[in-house]
Amino acid sequence: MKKVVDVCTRVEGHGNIKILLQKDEITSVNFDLEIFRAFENLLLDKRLIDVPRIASRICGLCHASQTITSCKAIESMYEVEPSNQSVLLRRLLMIGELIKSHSMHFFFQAFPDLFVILDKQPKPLSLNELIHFDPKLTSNMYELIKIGNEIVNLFGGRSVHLITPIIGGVFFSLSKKEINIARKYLQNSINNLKWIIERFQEIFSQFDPPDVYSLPNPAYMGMHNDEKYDRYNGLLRLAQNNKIIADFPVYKHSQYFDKQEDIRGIDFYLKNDQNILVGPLARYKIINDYGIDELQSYIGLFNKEWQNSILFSNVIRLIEMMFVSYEGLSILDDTELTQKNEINPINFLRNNEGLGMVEAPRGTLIHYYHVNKKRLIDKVKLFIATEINLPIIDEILTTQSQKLYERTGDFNQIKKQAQMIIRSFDPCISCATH
Amino acid sequence: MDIYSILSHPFRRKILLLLDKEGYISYTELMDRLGLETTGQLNFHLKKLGTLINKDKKSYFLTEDGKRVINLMNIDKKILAGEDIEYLDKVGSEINRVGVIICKCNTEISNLISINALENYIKRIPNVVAVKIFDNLCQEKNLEKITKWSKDNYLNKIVIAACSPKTHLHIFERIFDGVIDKVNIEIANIREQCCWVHLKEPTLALKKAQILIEAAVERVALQKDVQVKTVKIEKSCAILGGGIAGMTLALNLSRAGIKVYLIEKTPTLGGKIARWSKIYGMGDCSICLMSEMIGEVVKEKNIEILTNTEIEKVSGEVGNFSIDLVKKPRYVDEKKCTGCKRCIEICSIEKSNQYEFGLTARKLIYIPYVQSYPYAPVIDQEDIETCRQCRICERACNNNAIDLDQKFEKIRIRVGTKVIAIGADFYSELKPYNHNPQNDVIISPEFERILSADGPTEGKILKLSDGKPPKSISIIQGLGPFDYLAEYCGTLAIKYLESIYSQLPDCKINIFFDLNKIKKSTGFMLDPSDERFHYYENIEIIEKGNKKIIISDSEQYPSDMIVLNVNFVPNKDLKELRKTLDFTLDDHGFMSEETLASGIFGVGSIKGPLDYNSVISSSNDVAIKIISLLSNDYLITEFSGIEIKEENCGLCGLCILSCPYNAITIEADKIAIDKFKCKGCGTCVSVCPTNALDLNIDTTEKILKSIEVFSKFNLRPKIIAFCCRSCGYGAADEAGLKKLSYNPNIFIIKVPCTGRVDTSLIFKSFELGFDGVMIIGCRKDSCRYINSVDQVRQKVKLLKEVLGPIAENRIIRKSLSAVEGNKFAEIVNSFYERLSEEIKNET
Amino acid sequence: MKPNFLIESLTSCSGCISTMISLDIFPQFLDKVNLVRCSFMRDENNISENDIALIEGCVSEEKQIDILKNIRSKSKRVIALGTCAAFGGMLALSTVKEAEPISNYIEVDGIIPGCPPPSKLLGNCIIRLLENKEIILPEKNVCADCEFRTDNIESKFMKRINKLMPREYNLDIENKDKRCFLERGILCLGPITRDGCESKCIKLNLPCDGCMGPIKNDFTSNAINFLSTVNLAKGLRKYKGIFYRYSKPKTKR
Repeated sequence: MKKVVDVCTRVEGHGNIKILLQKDEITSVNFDLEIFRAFENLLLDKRLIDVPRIASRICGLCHASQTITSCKAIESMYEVEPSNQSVLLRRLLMIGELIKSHSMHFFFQAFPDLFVILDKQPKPLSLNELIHFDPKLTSNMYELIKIGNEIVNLFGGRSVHLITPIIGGVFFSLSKKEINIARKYLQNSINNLKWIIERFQEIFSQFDPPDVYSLPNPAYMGMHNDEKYDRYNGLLRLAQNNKIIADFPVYKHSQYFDKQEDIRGIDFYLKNDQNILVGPLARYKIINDYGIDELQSYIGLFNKEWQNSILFSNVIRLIEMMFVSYEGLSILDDTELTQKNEINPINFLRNNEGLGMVEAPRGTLIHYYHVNKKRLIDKVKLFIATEINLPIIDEILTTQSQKLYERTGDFNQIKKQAQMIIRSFDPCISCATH
Repeated sequence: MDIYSILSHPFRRKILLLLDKEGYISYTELMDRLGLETTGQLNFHLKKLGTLINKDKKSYFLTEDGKRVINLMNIDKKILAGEDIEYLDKVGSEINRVGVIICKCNTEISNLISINALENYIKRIPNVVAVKIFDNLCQEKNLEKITKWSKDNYLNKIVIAACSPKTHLHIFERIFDGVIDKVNIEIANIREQCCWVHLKEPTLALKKAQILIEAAVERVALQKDVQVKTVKIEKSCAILGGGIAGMTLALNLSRAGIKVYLIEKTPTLGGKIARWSKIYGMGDCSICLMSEMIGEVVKEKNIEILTNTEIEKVSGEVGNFSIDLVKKPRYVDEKKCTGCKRCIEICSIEKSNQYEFGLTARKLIYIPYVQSYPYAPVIDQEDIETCRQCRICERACNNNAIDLDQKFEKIRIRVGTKVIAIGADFYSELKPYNHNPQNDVIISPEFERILSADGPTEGKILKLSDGKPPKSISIIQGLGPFDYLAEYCGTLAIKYLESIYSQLPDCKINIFFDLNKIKKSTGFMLDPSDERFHYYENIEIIEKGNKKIIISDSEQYPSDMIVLNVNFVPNKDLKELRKTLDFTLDDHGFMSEETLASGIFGVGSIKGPLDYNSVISSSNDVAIKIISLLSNDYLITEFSGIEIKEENCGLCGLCILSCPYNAITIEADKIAIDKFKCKGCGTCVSVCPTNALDLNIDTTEKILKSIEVFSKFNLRPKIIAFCCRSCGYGAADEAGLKKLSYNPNIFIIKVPCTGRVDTSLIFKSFELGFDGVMIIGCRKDSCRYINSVDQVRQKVKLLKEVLGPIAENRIIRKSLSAVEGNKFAEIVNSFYERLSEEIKNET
Repeated sequence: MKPNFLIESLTSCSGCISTMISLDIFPQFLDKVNLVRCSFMRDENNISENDIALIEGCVSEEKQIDILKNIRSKSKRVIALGTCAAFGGMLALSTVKEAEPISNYIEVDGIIPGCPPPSKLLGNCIIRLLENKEIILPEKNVCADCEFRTDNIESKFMKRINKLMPREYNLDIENKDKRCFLERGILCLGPITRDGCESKCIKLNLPCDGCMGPIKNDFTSNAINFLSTVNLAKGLRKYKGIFYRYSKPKTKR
């Protein structure tokens, strides 16, 4: 058996494309993550109070989600509920994080690819070309990155690996001044996004996305709260072809999927053995309606081919950013936010295990902890979005590479195509190599 | 080219002179010195100088020809050099020129290892410019040879490979006095810690000696300049406490021409002995003796007596302290008072007299006792409010000597040294013994008053309850918190026996001693056959009606009068004084002699329970020390201790916490070190988390370099041993002196105190391939730096807890005294065995 | 001529690079330099000659050692970006993975510590790098600009330290407890941590976590030196979560 390995670039972190050949035939193409950091091991024997800030280090892009999930898991062990203000602050932090993460991916990774995929350019724009391609787009995108960053910084204490989210709430008391600043940021974000979406549509919508990127009818998984978009609170839903497979609270996840300790990869127990997709696109497919007409009309601008392609997640990413900006504005208007914040003290450990779940920018994120009698962690399971997406990425990679190999037999093209497929899924390698 | 044309240019003359003066100068330095801007010019002149100069890797120097030119011509350098020659004033060079001296030690070293091989190795070490071999370096006849050799080679640093620095360092320092600075002499201990302990393994001993010398060369090369401080000595002394010890010392010093400030807290000189009946063996009544002594003290012009005075603040350094004093108001002007006592007669309020231990009463305005000095009435601070409401005495005084509105007076004195002589207190927890003078259960000071002619009974032994002489007296000796008897207990017993016998020959006397305490006391002799002496394990005093009975180990002794002989306990003021003066306490709470900072002394019973004679002799000892200290005009100290880099200090205060001497302070957001309190143990360096602190001689850099060089030794398991310079290093030397053999795979690093060893040094050793780390320090109670040894114990303990078994087996920390060489060898050997075993198991 | 920059991620969370991208000066930075390698933003993947290499992440795999050595041989200056590259980072808490600072394998010309590096510090460092100057780091510890600092040593260090976080969750900025954390019995790693973060955690009334790393020695030995002198509760004495946070000493034979 022959093995071809190529390094995957322009992703966040280190990944390889591994092509397995047998008798001149591609048997499989894998997206291979060479490093494994073993955070499950790292969290062992730690005190619960230390866990959120260690968990934050799983990822420098979705650190807020990691911290908050971790806090939620531990809160479920202590059976404490964070105050309303704390919940609102957590939502704001997640909004900031999502804007930063999405805009960074869109600008540096997805956008240059789209030119090639949609035949506008022979090869991806280099960094300089990208910056000078459309100065206004660049500055707008850049401002979005800043806005995400600043919102997190404002409520989180710093912009990466937050200080304020702790077990029991958010250790922060905010004033009118901060609310006004945040409001300004979010309004700017909406204005920028409007311009960007229109520009995007102007450049790309008349092209049809190629078949290579169409999704092989996966089951989508995501969170919803009473059929509405919600990334902090709610039930987990599995759906395929607009049909609900299951709706369940997170503590029942083991009926549908689970994870062996110390082994990477998540096992799904679904009847048809479908591949699962999580992330912004899945979140949209779960609810099918953001509840804001303006956003729905933007979606309407793209035809069916777009909507069945993974490339559509780029559109959804922009729209989701806009949605959360609106959501953020309504949170800032909430009078509860300015009331005196209180942290519920954690005193009695009521359960020796706990689960926490949020929707991270790249999809469903679940932490599971179990403590021993000394109250030190002895069992950890981390369900991380990119890990859930890996099987579907590998499936598309394999089938599309086989097709291309039959047609051309050119490994360079296969590698190039594989890279773009991988990037279109926005895999977070830091997370996946947790 | 002829010499004249070479010397015609001033630059070339300057070059020659500079090279003559300093030996070796680098190219860039030459440019600097000559003030040249372009290299071309210098190149031209250097070329012109031709064979007169030569060049090695780094620098230019004079050839033999060049030296000859300078010598032969013997010309006036000033004229030759042209107008300004200020560049000649700068001495010292950045270049390290290290000379190594190997001492064969009368074949002790050369018999075991090949000196040739050693020399060849050393010559290859960078920085080493010359190696010289001596048969016996410590002999004076070598002095001239060495001086010449080091001057000829322009050496500025020296490594001596010979015996332990503990043996002959002072001789070596004397040899190089004026040639090489003390700090630039480093010793490679190849005798006690190499040759003598590895007699069976000459090959390894050679290798080890080579590495030891290389490390010493590297260390000395890292030495930077050390500050020297000169203090003008103030020829005066402050003595705190006007008792027998303080006065004896004051007399001694004043007669040697030293100005003395005798500072007494109470209104009178005299101390406790002034209240005693007599002093055993002196035949005299003690108050007579004291008043004589007071008279002498008063007579001395050099003694300034400050009664009723307390110390407030001390600043400065040894040789030059500035002390702030507060003189409490006496409310009576000593100069105006005639001592007529009218004020005392007229005063109507009474309280118990502390000078009679409460046995009698006195007026609020009072004279402590007849022989007190100054002889003038006084009102206690606590009574003044009451007196101000009455003021009858003020009106009664004919001389207007009384001033009830007198204020506190602040006095500042400057002294070269200070002495604490405040004596001790009496043990006062007497509840179990039913102490009650009115019921004839009295303590020894009260009995002394009864025996005194000026006491409440005018010297007659009478029961205080009914004024009748007792028929039986029991004396319980040595009551106090300690588990030993004070040395004076024996003489005291005899003194009491004699006193009672002379007055009441029929009186039945029983003296009780605690058997357990006697066992623990040394030099304590009593006639065991004397039936008046009883030795008990348990003692109890019970009262039946108005009879008192002592039950000693179930035997009963009825007694009319019971004397509780209470021990001296540490003065309660000591703890407070520690904050202003700089000393530490021993295990019993007395002042500890060993840890006294320089410039401060203690005399008398402040250091423990002493009898009269011991107090006098200790005062005399201290007087000699003080006189010798103050006989100099200047104190020149080569500071060896901590240097602070303020720009790196974040004021976390960890160093302050760890300093055993309270030498570090934070004032106005700045860290400051009292260089005269600092003893250079380096404990603060071990905790400083920034680079703000380092020792100036035993730098961290040097220690790390030593570890690095030692790691070249490539046999396993190898051990690094951090030994404190007083005990651990001494024990290693002792092993050498006894020629005990231990495994050669151990390298000893001398640290001032094991408190200097921090965790990073241990990690560094492991990182560089050492298998084991030994830390050998002093015993807990004899650490030269108070509690530093305890701090390293804490570190190692925590380290072992954190690292678990890895550290448990690979680090040992032991306390040895400097004479326990055999233990040192044992520890090394068993540690070596253990580590070899472990390595075997691993593979 | 634009300077060539190389940005390499080893085992990391990408937080450092994400901090760098969100710097105010980052667009200008991109304009002023020629990025020769940066897997986050560029397709080309060769390690080529460069002026400055910024490396984030720790060394946890053997493979990375070759990459590092390759980078060193082609870079004029190598800078460790973030606490992982400089000291090992959070992964040091792991019992199965190695987390070594890059300086264990190659010579490093400077570090920019922090998890992630504080924006202000990082910005200043990058400006200095662009000007081809040495990086300047604060040489004091966090106590230096801590608003709770007390000079009363007795009260500061005598309290038993048994908490990792404050228990009294008083968020009222006006009435918050303004005593030094150590005085309150809460473990604060400020004394052994480099300044430069503007003591953000402490300003929010949470103790210093030590993310800026040590100034001298390594984190673990500093922590042991520091905590052996104070009264540390028994339960915390063996807790590796304190002593191996952000770096692990090399003790293997």
